[in-house]
Amino acid sequence: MKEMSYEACQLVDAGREAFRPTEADRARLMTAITGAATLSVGIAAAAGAQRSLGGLLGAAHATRLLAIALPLTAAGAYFWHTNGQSPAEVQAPPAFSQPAAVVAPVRAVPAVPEAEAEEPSSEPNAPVPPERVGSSPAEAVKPGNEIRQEVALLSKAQAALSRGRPQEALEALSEHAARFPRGALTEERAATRARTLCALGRRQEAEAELKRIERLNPSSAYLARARESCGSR
Amino acid sequence: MATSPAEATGPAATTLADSGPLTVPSFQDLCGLYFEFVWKCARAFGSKSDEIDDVVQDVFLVVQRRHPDLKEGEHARSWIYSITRRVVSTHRRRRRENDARGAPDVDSLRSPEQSPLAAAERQREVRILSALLDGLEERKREVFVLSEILEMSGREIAETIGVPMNTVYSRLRAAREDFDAAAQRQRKSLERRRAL
Repeated sequence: MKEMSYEACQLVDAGREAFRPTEADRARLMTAITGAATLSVGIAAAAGAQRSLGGLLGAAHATRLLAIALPLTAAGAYFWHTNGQSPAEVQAPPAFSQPAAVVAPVRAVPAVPEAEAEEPSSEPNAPVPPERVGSSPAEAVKPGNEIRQEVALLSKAQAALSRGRPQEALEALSEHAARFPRGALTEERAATRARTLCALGRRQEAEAELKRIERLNPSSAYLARARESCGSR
Repeated sequence: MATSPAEATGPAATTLADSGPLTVPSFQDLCGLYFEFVWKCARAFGSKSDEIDDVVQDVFLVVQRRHPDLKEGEHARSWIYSITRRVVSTHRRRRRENDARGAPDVDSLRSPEQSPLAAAERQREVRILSALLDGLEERKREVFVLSEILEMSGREIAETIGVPMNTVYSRLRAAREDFDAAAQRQRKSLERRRAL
């Protein structure tokens, strides 16, 4: 293949160097990303444990704990981790010597459904629900908010479905579809919608949704799970 | 997966990651193995330095949510690549909307650990590079970036973007010609301006 000119090679070399993350970049983001994932798993496990404890603690107590734990999926955990509200096991990100203009802050993720965020908790050791971000007009158009908002809406739908409120889940899913018709999580939305329609007893619509997912991605793992949840083949 | 994140920082690591037994790696493994790949892809496909943290985190947020969808036998790199392209595209779309409202190009504010003169020169080169990459037709840009910036082999590129090797090489040849021609036009234009 023909060699490129000196000028072109020089530009490519500049790109190879400039587009490489530094060790500080790696440390900062890896801590945030993997820490959030670990915390997310912990919270999900905690939610399961609280369900089991419902019988021991009483329904009201268990429900209150669930209301805190369930909405905190990866995105919610992310917020805690990066905003100093995290439990003790979360490590602080390393310090950096880069100037402020270079370091984009590890940013918050809005994931707590409005209903839960507004519900005051009387649990003394309960984590404080994070302040919602992205609600101002300036935040709403900030690049990156789109995916965080997608995650927040889907988390809201899934939490509602888990609490036995399929109508509420459907509303969140409709909002997701209207705002993000070509979003990054459309397949997950479709699968959750199928499960929600099943929960509402709207079998025909659920089947149509399942067929649509199958057409788009026949080997989707979401499809298998949605089918299992609906009890269909 | 046995490969530690420390081993997985270069193009060789992505080969290692994808040429082993095609079991489904854990989310943590994916983070370690593909962090640099995602970062470089995002930067080379147009993410600015002031948004790169958001882009990389968003990619891994989607990777975490969609992890159950990654099947045994599927190339993780190809899967993550498609997620990265989608997330970068979303950010770029939003960025264009913001830029239209007069937001500054924060990329020019980056202060690398170099002398001011060298830093300014490197910034200038990176801005030219980004402009030339933006000028390439999308499919040519894709193979050019993967080959020249991420230093991936033809086979790796073919696996990642899901096209035959011949297609990779023919696109790469055309992309190099276009990029070279644009780089030389840029140099001549600069020389003309300096001569004035």
